[in-house]
Amino acid sequence: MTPVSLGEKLHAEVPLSFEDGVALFREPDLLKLGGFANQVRERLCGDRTTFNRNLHINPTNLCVAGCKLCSFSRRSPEQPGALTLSLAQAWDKLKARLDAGDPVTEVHVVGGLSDSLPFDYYIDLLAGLKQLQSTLHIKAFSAVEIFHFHKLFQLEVREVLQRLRTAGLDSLPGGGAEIFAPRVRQRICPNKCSAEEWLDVHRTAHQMGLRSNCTMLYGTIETIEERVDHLLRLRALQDETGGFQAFIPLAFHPENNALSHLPAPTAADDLRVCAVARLLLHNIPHVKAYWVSLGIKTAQTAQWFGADDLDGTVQEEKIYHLAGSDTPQALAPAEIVRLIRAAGRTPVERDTLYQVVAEGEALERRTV
Amino acid sequence: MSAGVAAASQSLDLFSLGRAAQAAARDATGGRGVFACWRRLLPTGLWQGPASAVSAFVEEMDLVVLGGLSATRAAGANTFVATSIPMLIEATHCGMRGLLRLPLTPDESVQQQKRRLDVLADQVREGLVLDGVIPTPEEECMGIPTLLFVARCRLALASVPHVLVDLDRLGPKLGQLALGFGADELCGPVVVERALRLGDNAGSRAITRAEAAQLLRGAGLRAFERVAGGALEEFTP
Repeated sequence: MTPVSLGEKLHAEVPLSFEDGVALFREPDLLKLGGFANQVRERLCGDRTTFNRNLHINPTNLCVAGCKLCSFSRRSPEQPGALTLSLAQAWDKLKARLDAGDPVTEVHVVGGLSDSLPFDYYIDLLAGLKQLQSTLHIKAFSAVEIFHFHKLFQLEVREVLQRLRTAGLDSLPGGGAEIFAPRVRQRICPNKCSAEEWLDVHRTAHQMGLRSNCTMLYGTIETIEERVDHLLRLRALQDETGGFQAFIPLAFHPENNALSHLPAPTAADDLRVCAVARLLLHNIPHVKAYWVSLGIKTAQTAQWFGADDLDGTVQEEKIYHLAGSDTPQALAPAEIVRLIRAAGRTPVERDTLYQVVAEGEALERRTV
Repeated sequence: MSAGVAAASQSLDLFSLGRAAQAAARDATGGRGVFACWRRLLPTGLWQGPASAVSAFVEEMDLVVLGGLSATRAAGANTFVATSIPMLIEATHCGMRGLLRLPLTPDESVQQQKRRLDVLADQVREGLVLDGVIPTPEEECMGIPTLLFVARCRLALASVPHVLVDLDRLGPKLGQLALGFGADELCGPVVVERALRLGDNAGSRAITRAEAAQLLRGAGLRAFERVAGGALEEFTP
């Protein structure tokens, strides 16, 4: 018998349809939605919540895209707040963490779309980071940046990825997807690459054996149908390549940008997106509650609404903080472990590829 | 108990407790969520918040320096936020709306929490006048423990009309989630119009009436505003 109700579909592990997704977003009972998402979360990941020790480096905020949603970018070096790190400054950020004895396992590198930095800057940046610690995982450059390099430096996307990989690139972050619907992209980020181009960069990376994450920015002007369309396009690419590791819902923060008149998403919105994503994206192993975006308390709660990962210690996040995020700049591992335990989950430190770094007593010792 | 089973039982607790508390709140309020514009009588004797605010409250901890209940009544306070039962009784005898803060401490077990709430429920049954409780995390508040405590408050104190969300303490995000776990009223800085977040107002967490109503509606409640005299009016933007 073909499952008809949502509960039956979930029980039979049948992929949910577009109509199911819309109905889930419209479900007024948030606890019911959370309960469904939690079933899937526990089936996939048990009671574990993972995190990692990472460092964010934003090499430049000079950007030609001019997205209305962004509080981070600057158009020219003369603008207040404009920033481009020298290679030495960027490397020093990692060096400082390593010198302090912090066993950081990942560096997350994303920046603006500069039209003045040469490709060698990015190559040398990665090579220098890798040289500081060869076991370090470098997750760098969103698909939007990769596509920008392709256009600016007249290299095929595959060639861009190959050269960066040779320099030390290990995987791609998931940013820049925003909302795939052309109507929304045209209004909030008209100069960014298209949905097809974003997806194609990830497709190429996956074909080369690189893993990546994927995201959705919600809370601007998108409709529920556009959210569902976005999620299903991610799911379709995952069916094709299997290269996405985690989906990260990104809440829009309205301060200091051209969309400041919009209200920020509420916590109910945050948990709803998290839960619906967990239910629709049955083929993506992890859903991340990015605490910088959601706030610590909502991220903690999201562990019962489909999320099984809290991202990492982060340190020096700039993009969301310039948009008004009032979370700390970093969380100590002990603090993340406490957050996870207080939610009744079991903390596990992972690496970027979701391999276990430490759990149980080993995590206790490492956290102390 | 295996990790999987432990997770399942936690899950059952969170969702079943949340559901039960929602149902209890619906029974108590008919699905209404309430907000009001608030102002607070500070220890300095000055008011914080708009002069037109309907809920003019004083905290028990500020009472001595303010000269006692009569002085605060004379200054215009109509709501008393108590931390002790004797002062709550005294305030309600003076005709003030009596609310009681219920602290949430990380070292208290669930059993201890329940016992504490049961004792209070007994006092209410025996005639203690209490219009609402305010679950109040004492240290930095965490999401899940706060929500569970809110739910336990609602379930244990069925005859107390309101479980309030302290917006100042919880913030609007966790505050809204608490509305899905049995809370039904927002307390804290709700204003008619937001002042620019500049100067002394830079760190203000005040939300507007429309935002308060949005929080209530987003939690599935009908938004009502407490107006002069304590009456409730459905809010239409």
